[in-house]
Amino acid sequence: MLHIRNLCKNFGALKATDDVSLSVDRGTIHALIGPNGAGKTTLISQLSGYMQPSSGAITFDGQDLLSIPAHKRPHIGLVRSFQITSVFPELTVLDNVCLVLQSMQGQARSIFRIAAADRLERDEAREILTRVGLVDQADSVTGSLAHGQKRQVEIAMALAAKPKLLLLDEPMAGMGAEESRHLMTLLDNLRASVTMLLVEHDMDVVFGLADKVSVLVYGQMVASDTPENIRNNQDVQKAYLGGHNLHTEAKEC
Amino acid sequence: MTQLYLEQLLNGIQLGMFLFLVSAGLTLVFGFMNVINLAHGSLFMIGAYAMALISGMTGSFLLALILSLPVVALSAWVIEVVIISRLYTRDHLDQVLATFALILFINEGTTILFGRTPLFLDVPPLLSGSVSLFGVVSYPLYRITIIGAGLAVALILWIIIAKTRLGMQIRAGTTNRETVEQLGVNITRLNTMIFVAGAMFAGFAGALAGPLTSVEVGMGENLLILCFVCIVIGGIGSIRGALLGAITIGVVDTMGRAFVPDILVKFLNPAAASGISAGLSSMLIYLLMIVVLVVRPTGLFPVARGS
Amino acid sequence: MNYTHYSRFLIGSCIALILLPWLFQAMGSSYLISTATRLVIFAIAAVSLDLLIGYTGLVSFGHAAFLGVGAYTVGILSFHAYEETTLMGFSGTLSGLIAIPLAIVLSALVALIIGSLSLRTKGVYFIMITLSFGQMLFFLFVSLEKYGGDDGMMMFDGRNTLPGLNLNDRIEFYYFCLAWFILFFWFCTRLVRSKFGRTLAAIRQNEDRLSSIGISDYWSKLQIFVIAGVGAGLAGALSANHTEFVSPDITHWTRSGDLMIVVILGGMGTLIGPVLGTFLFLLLEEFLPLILHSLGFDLLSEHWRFVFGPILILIVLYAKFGLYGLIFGRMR
Repeated sequence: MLHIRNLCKNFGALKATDDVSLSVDRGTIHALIGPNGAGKTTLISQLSGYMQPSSGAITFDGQDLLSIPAHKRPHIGLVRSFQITSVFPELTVLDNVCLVLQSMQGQARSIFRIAAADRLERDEAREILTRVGLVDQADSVTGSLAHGQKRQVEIAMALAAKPKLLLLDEPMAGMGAEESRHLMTLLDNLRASVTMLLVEHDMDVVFGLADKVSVLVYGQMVASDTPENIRNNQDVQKAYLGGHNLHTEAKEC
Repeated sequence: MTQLYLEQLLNGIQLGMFLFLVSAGLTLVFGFMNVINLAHGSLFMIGAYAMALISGMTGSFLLALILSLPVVALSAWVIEVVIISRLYTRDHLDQVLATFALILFINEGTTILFGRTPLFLDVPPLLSGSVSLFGVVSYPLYRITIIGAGLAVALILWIIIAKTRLGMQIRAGTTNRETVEQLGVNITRLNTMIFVAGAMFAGFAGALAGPLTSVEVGMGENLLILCFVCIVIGGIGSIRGALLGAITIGVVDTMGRAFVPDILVKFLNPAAASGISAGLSSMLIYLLMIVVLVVRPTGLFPVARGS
Repeated sequence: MNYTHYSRFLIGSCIALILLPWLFQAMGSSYLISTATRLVIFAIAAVSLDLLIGYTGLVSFGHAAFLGVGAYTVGILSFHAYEETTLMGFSGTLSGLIAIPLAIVLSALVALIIGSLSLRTKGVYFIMITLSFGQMLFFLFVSLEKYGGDDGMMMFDGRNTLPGLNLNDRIEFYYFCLAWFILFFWFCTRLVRSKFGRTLAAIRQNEDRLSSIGISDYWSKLQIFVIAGVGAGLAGALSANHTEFVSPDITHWTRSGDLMIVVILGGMGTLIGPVLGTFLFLLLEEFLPLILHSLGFDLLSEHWRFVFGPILILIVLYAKFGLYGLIFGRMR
């Protein structure tokens, strides 16, 4: 579904993405792991169009992704969530989700439809909020929510875009244990309909969900394999963890 | 013809020097404190008024020039402490409005004190007369002095910014303000210092401008908008950008006014040409700025900013 | 915000504006109708600017340019009608059915051009590029020597003509402007509550996030820029009719500054705010000199801006919620 070929992104002398090639298969959850500063978010940003790669090619669903502007990518089914919470703080939770829905309907610039009068849209938004477990907060101003709840809004907004491929940049970061478990179940249930590229530090989540794991270190792809093989891969252990066991490291994070 | 071109070129550079002197402070204040100060032109005007009044009283050009600088510095200090310092943490909209209001206040105050009649100033005897340049053009000594003074200020500024500890702090603050705050620098004092220094350059330009233009209320604003064009073209926060922007704008504006009518006459009838050319030559620099911004949305020499 | 309180105020103001001419006549000061007409005209411009500044977070410092486009459209058509000459093959006209729609179309067109270039920049660069476009139009109008250059031109044939309405009657003209104001205000009320209004709020709060949910911030901003330009162009066309005079002064950069002041005075990010701001601004302009005079500050009464400047600074620094905030409590 997604094919990245020989992707490079340079910031001056720094190679943030260094000749990365990666394929994400339809219907899988593909985890992307690596130590801090490995270039995971930079890679996601190039996929979502926030950054232009220096060289390389990306195809998504058979289309050349790099020729599609960032704001059109959600419309072809490529949607991201953000590591640093980035919602619209003065809008209500419901409005944040409705904003995505109206965008998908192509009504973001409609001056003839009163926002609050669209019942169908509101019902759909409520339904999505129910799925992420945030429907109680639908009418709260998003800026006033707790951090973990803002993360849930972020997920709700991503789901509202009805993605084919969901780029999840550390979705669990800052969530409590209860919320994390809830989200994990949610993602697990979604796997039939949505392909996911998941950046995550929590190894329990990674090995609990992923069909395939890729390891990125200093901008380079070190390995890309099944979770079982990654766990036992000596190169990964050495490059990523300096010889530590993946499980112990995960707990320390 | 060469003679005419050369003379207009020199006039352009001389205008550019004025623009640079005013832009330098503007770009420093914006680069370091992130403040748009519309009232910067008022300091130019204060310099011109101080110069005209003191030289009227004392009869000495040099004494007036020396004394007008502390007048400007004092005014700038009051403005910084009372108003500008409260704007550092505000958004650009607040800064634009508050300093716009400040212009209203200063202009109206000046009118109350000195009336609406423009003041005039003579070129001092020592600097009057012309000198022959390159054997082809005879050019007023006073204007050459201004070009010299502008270049001298540019050199001094470059030395301060490139070679001194203060300059290091300014450069660091322009790219990343938090770094400087963490270095234990007294940021409040540094802000005031930079603001007053910038104001003094503008006041110095105002004092020198006296003999070339009439000293009147509102003289600062027209120049100020030109200076904004200069620093925007150059890239806000960059002294080098301000210098290049100022000379470009000075030359383009002067050459435009001198030669656009001649060019238009070739295509239009004389009456139509004279009408359009006045406006067209005034529009030229804005056109230039718009082209620069459309091609490079952050100016020609953008200062890299840390978040 | 108390919604009933708000809508009562809205209806009350509307009735007050409708009854105003009778009130002034009863007071024997019918010259004030002209001031009331200015109020509704400039309120249109102020509300349109607030769509940019308050609702979208776009600080445009060249809004007076569109006032100029509207005013000059009406003025130039009237000029050619009076001279019985043509402009590019078209004869002039006094007909409001042509002049006012044309003013709207042209200001939309100019806004489209200015916006499409300016909106490539952000922040302070946007402020400066809009200021520059404003200056360009100012100098363009100055250069139109045929139409009076610096000094501008009188509309010697008087105001535009409309079937069934005599705009040269000041009361009928007031109602004409009031009708436009109410129409525009109603349009904006719907606009800010529309789906597009929600998009604008999103732009103001987190512009960079927009593309990730599939919305182009550029096209959205361009759309509101054109709508705001149309509002100001309409105000310009009405203003030319009001004063029967058009000059480059209307596009001077300080006019753009005045409009921004008005928005802040009243309270930005609300629709009533800019109207209240216009009201206060005109009130100060008309009455601050009188008040200062009666207090014995004769010198200051002529130089009321000397007092107004510091008041404005205090408002910007300490009371940004504006008049709206005073009346309805702080917003948001």
